[in-house]
Amino acid sequence: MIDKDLIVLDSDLSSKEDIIRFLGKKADKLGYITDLDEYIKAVERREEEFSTAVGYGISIPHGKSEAVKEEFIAFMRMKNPIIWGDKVDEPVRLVFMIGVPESKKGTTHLKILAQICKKLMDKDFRERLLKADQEQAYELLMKIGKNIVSKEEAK
Amino acid sequence: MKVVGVTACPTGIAHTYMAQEALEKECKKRGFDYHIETQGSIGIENELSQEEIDEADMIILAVSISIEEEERFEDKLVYHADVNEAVSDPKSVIDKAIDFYKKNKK
Repeated sequence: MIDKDLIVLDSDLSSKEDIIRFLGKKADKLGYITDLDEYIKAVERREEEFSTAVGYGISIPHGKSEAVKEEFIAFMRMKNPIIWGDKVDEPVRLVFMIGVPESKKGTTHLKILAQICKKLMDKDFRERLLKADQEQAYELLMKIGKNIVSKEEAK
Repeated sequence: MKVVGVTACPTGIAHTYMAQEALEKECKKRGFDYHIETQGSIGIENELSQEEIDEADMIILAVSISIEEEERFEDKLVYHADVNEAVSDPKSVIDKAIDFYKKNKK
């Protein structure tokens, strides 16, 4: 669910729509998605309810859909802060795009996603992501995953 | 000050957990006792007991969907917050909750 190929650093894309499609295509190529357009629609529907630009320079577009085969999280760091949709007052540099299948199979992946989301509230974690190279960014995300898995196994 | 709360958002994937974390951090900063339950895609986690709810000085429901076991909060003075605001501006949510209790607590 965390994939080196789903980490894109210093992108010069500038619109929310382009970013969602770009990352969606990557997830599709890796086999996480069965129907890209369907997934993108789910993400856009969620964006319409309320922007996922949550402040802190972060946005977290996400979609729950039958078009998602397995949970995934993609991370894109923008070269320059961008305007996320109509949220003009909150420039975004870190984008985390999440996909979750409609029917849940297990909870370990969901717990990892939840933990990553919690970590985003941590300033140090965000600053490390802003400076990381691809390997470091991957390690930062994987570490969270590993912690959850070992906790689950300890149960 | 004892604060209990519940966070929940429509997809239950991201905001639920970010709001929990943001509210916990803000309560910690202020030296409050806190316990925040999440109702998300994983189900209920960090569940609040009736006793904790009964003893709380402040109850914050940062939810944008109807939650499970809402009856625990029946007849209680509850501050309803916006789950999005709890993520992006937890300080303001706690300030408003404190104001709300000042005005409404008998």
